[in-house]
Amino acid sequence: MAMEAVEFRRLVETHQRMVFSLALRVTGEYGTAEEVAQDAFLELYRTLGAPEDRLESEDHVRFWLRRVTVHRATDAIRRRAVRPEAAAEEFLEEAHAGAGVEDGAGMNATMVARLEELLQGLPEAMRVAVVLRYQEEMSPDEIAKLLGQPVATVKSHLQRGLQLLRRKAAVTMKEYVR
Amino acid sequence: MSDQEKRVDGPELVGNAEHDLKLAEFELQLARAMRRVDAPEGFAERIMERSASPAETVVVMRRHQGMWRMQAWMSGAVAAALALGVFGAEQIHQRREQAKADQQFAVAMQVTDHALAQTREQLQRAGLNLNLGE
Repeated sequence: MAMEAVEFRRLVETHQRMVFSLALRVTGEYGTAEEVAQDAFLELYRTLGAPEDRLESEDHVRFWLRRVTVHRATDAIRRRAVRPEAAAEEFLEEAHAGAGVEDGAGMNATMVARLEELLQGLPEAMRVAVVLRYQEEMSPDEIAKLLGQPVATVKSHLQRGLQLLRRKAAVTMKEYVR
Repeated sequence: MSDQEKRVDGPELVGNAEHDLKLAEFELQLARAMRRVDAPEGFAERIMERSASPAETVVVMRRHQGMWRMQAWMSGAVAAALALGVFGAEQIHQRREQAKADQQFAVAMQVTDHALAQTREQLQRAGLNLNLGE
């Protein structure tokens, strides 16, 4: 196996959970998420082979993968008219089998599944900002840089997205959310 | 601050603080719920297969397609020019051959005319008049 392929395999294994999770939470659909994640990695493979597009560090690779994945996921939603709201049931079945069982963080699987479902109902821009903030634990500044948006826009999306989620959760998840 | 202002600000501030607390609590729940999930079984293997497949090389090949198209166009143009050249040369050659044949025919006719005239003269001198259409 060539050195390039060995390095590529290492990067895939290191970042596959991040890339797939991002794609899944933005598209809300398992098959589309895998396709988006694979395409993002293959673009990385081509970039590794192009000396003019050198990725200089692990941080640079992570930033690059997050940006490409988010762009490809939002493109997939628009191109294929994937409606995350409609795909929410599939998401719940695939991602959170074993409802009622508490996970390592003490969260009830049903509650996690319901939060995911509510997330899929958010408008695209808010959903992307919320996923990057709470899944990837990125600051608003980092999100703004990644998406090429003003920080104020990102903060507004985060604030409105969070309030919208909180309001929906208060109605549909009374037993979990105060 | 007037009593009226206090009455208005007081409950609002308390309400905001409670609201912020609830939102912060909700944020914590959300952060715990949104942990990364595992990629599907065999995900890495499928990517490695795709990266090694000829279809991937097609992407690289597409970059050179413009150049290939230009080369094909130029080859076509050269072939057409050669065909035209050969056809043109053939035409010129045929015309030259025709002109040479015409000239040879004209000379032959002149020679024949001259020979006939001499023969007629000799016969007249011998007292024979063939009266060939004259």
